Amino acid sequence: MAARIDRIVPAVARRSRRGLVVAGVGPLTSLAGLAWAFVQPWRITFLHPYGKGGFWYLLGEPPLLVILVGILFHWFVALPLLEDLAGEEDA
Amino acid sequence: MQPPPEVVHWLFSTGFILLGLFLVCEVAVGPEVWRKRAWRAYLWPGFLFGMGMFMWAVSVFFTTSTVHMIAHGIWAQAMMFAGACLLGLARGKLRSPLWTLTVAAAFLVSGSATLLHESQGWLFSRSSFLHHLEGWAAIGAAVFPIGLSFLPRSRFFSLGLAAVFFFIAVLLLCHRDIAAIFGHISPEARVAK
Repeated sequence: MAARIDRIVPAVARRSRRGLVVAGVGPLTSLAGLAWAFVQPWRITFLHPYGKGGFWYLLGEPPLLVILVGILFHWFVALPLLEDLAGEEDA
Repeated sequence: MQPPPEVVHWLFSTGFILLGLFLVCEVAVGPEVWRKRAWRAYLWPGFLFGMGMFMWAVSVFFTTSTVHMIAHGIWAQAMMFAGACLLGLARGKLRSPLWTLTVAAAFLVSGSATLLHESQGWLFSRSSFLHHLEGWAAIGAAVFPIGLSFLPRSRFFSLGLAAVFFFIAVLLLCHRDIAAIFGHISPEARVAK
């Protein structure tokens, strides 16, 4: 998969603004979540000093959810879309 | 085993972020490239339909008030109906872009349900303030699907709709069960311990 990213993302993103947008929105979303985690670390509940909640608070950690959404979107939607975009622009 | 309300709001926000991301990418590459793989055409209509289904779970499991149950039930129906119509458009069973008006109807119903089920005016309370903001944002956002039903390829209306999804996602992520938002204004607004 890493080779796939190296092959597709830089090529399409360099060639067109459309590719740059598609390649960028997922990582940008994850970066926003990461920045949020640093600004408000108390929103990551597993860092709570006395423990909080249980299963649901371990599942629902807002900044981590945002990071996860960005990664999943990039992996499962953006990369196949970039492949199609590269094919379209080559044709 | 029932999740706390704030966690439910956070989980729904992930769906809204994804809806926004789908729309941004569809606008960026254009509908021809977006539909090159059949499953992508069903992505955002399917997510809208699925989020409507999860709204039923909220209606069934969070039974603290009748208004809450009814509001979420109506809301679920509106989201599923809009999602189903968009799925019909993606599949080609429905042809008129005017079916996109069902998304506008879903926004209006969702906004009204949000405002009605949290109708108390203590806007210094985080939950009340955010629900009012979400409700009015959803009602105002109906203008974007209305625009899309008449101008289906409009980038302005598509990106406007995506921006609304991101805005609602941020508001949902701001939900907390006990943290006051304007606690310094009134002693009635509880401060988190």
